[in-house]
Amino acid sequence: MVFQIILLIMLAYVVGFIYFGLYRNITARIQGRYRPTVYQSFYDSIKLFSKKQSVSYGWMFYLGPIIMATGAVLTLILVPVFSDSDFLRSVTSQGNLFVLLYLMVLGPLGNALAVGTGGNPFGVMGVVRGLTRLIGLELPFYIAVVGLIIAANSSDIVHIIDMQKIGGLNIINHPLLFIGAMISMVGFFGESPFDIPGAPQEVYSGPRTEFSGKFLALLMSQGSLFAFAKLVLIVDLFLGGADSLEMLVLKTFAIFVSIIFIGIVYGRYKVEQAVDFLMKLPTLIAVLGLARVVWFG
Amino acid sequence: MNSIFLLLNLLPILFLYQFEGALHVSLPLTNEFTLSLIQTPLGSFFAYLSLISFLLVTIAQKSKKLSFSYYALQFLLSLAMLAIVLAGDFITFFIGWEIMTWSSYFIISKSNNMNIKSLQKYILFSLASAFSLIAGIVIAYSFANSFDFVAISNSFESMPFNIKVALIVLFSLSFFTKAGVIGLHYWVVDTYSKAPDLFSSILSAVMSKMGIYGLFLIYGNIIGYHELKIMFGTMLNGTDFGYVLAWIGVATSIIATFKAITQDEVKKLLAYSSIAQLGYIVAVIGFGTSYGVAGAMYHTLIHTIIKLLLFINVAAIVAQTGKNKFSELGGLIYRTPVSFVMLLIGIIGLAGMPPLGGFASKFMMYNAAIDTKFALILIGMLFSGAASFLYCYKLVYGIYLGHPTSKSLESTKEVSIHYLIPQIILALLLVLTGAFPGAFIKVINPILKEFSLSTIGYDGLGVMQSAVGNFNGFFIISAFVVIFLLILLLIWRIKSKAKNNLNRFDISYCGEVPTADTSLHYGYGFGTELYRIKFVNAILKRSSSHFYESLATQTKKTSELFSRMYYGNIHNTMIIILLFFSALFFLGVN
Repeated sequence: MVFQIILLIMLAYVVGFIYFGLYRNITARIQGRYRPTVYQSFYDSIKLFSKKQSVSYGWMFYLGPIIMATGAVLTLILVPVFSDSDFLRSVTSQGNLFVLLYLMVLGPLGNALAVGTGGNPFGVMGVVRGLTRLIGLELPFYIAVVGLIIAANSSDIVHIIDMQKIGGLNIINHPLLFIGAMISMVGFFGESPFDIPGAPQEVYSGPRTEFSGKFLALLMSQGSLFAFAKLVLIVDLFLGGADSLEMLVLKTFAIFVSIIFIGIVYGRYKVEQAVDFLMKLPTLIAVLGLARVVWFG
Repeated sequence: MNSIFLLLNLLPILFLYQFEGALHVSLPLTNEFTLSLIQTPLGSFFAYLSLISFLLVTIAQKSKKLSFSYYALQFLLSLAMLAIVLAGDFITFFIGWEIMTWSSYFIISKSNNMNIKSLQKYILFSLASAFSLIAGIVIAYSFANSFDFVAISNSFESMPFNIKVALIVLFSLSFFTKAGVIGLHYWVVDTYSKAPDLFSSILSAVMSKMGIYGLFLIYGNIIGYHELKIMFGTMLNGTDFGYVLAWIGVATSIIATFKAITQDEVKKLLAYSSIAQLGYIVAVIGFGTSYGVAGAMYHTLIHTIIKLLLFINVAAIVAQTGKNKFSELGGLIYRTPVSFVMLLIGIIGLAGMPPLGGFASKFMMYNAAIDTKFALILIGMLFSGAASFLYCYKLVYGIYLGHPTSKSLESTKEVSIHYLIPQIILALLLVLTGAFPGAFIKVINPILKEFSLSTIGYDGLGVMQSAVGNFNGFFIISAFVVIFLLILLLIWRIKSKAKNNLNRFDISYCGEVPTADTSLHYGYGFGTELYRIKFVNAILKRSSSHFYESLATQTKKTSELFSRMYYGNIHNTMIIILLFFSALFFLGVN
């Protein structure tokens, strides 16, 4: 089991970083400028792990990225990666969707403590904007997840995957819920128009402002692990999970690319605009999907 | 003095050594009225809750010099609460309720911050609650010919429908006022924030729970969830009644959450958060399912632990620094590290994050909502939970993180050990309730039997079973700790030195160097974004104070109208009133 967990983390690390490299690559192509190599994020990560930090703000400042990484790893091992095999089945069956919903926020909150300790007002501003954005951002995603739980009558992800094998994929059965969840996902991936917390031109890089050296590298690595976990979660919930590595890469990549394509064409919302928007159309779409689930089965 | 009352607080445990049936006293007053104390599982749950809370708060009070009368009143209050939760009839219940009101009123009035207006608010709302309660009791007596809970419960079925509804409304209003449901919460914030700092923890953790106990008593024991289902019909998999109640609870929790975020005073934030958390309990209490009751019970326990912890923590900080606003605090993390860790554990619980008990209780409530298919209620609870992260972060950031806002804060020392002992106990309890949710199910199953609901399964002490999935608290918390330690070790091994930052102004600041005059603490600005969001602004700009103030003005005008009739001679006025009523009487007879 321990071996499998290490394997999973390595897989997520590699896939996550390659996706991140591809993201930079594709963005550059669309914007018509020179692009970095796909492996650029690896180089950055290794370089940063060997660099020294510029400043220290005491123990709490160091614990933040570690809590965030813990949250990401825990999320990763609780999401079923392969639907058919027994790969980590004994671990994933311990969690459920509600645990995951909260674990997804645990990391950022842990890091917010470190940001606060750093004492940079821009960092805290980013955190507060992020938490304010969360009010709107979580809403369509929560509704989608609740809809799926009620439809499957179980908060166990493995059960939700199994249900899709019998009754067809959720993306086809519950398209409205899928649209709602995807709009939230754009924000969870820090894409425009919801990339408020780390807005580079406004609040430096928000929560990451003060971090450097191995802690910045840790934040980057957990980011790639976490991105992979979120992609797998969406694949599990709406695309019926993946049986093999190829299917997993294909399905996650499809989701990933659609998220980037949405992100690239939009400008950034202000925080209040983002929450206002998320509370209207995406919530309405998701609620309609939910009403269909509750009243018509 | 403190030690004596500490021992006195331990005394009732002698009579409550079992969970059920250890105590059965009845004292006949006349032929008709009997005062009785009976220990039921529901009663003992709340009795233990209040006993332990009083014990912990008394430990913390050792750090203060308090008078004999203060301790005596507090002891009286704890006895009154025991009388409420162990009462076997409404007379005992009401006596306990009144003593609770008066003893707490006198303790609150001892506070230096208290003003007459807030005191009046408290006593008026308490009286309204008591009047509503006594009205319900009298109506119930007129049909059952007894004050005994069992007798009233037996005759409830045969009462006319409108009387049943009247009883439910009267009792609910009374207990909603105590719990601070939105609209009736007008007194809560003022009282909690202006009461003596340590006593606020009693108000929020225990006294508000008496309202919750009352609701359980009425819905579960006296009326019975089954009867509620028959009376009002069902909706989806729950009851109509539960659905209406759930919306009241969800509205309470959402509105109070947003109000909490915008507060500048620490204890006001905690007071609003208390209202919001009780909103969750009210939301699931009417579901009438095992999970609903269990979720409400679990959250009652968790909220008591968290609010004791947070209020004691804040009381210690206020005592140490003399400041009680976020805009005046900040940067205490390395000056009071133990307090910081305790508050951190408290807010992790308050936010409902997985490794600790806060999540277990929320999971139970969410499951209850899934079970009844009340999807929108569940969304409302999740939404309010997401918004509550903001006030949790404000609480820890405003006090402990960021920069100190004044010179005097930089020399703050760690708080007294008497404040820390109860906090450490409570933090441990919070960890245990998160790691062993199954253990709590064991406690709750007898209560479910008392309400004649089906019991809930558990797998060992670590796993809580539910209709839609299990939660292995023990696995989650141990996995979290193991992964955390491994990553910590890994990062530790990677050698990279950092220069120790001695100057707190050494930050990236747009290429400029901030000075001591630069305002760097962001605590004050928290929540200003919310006013720009239309939906939230609509909530924030409304306030129940408008309603109550206009009500007060109207009452004043009406009484002015009556006072005009009085022209100085009491005899003549009385004769006129007498004639008026006799005229009415004769008209009525004819």
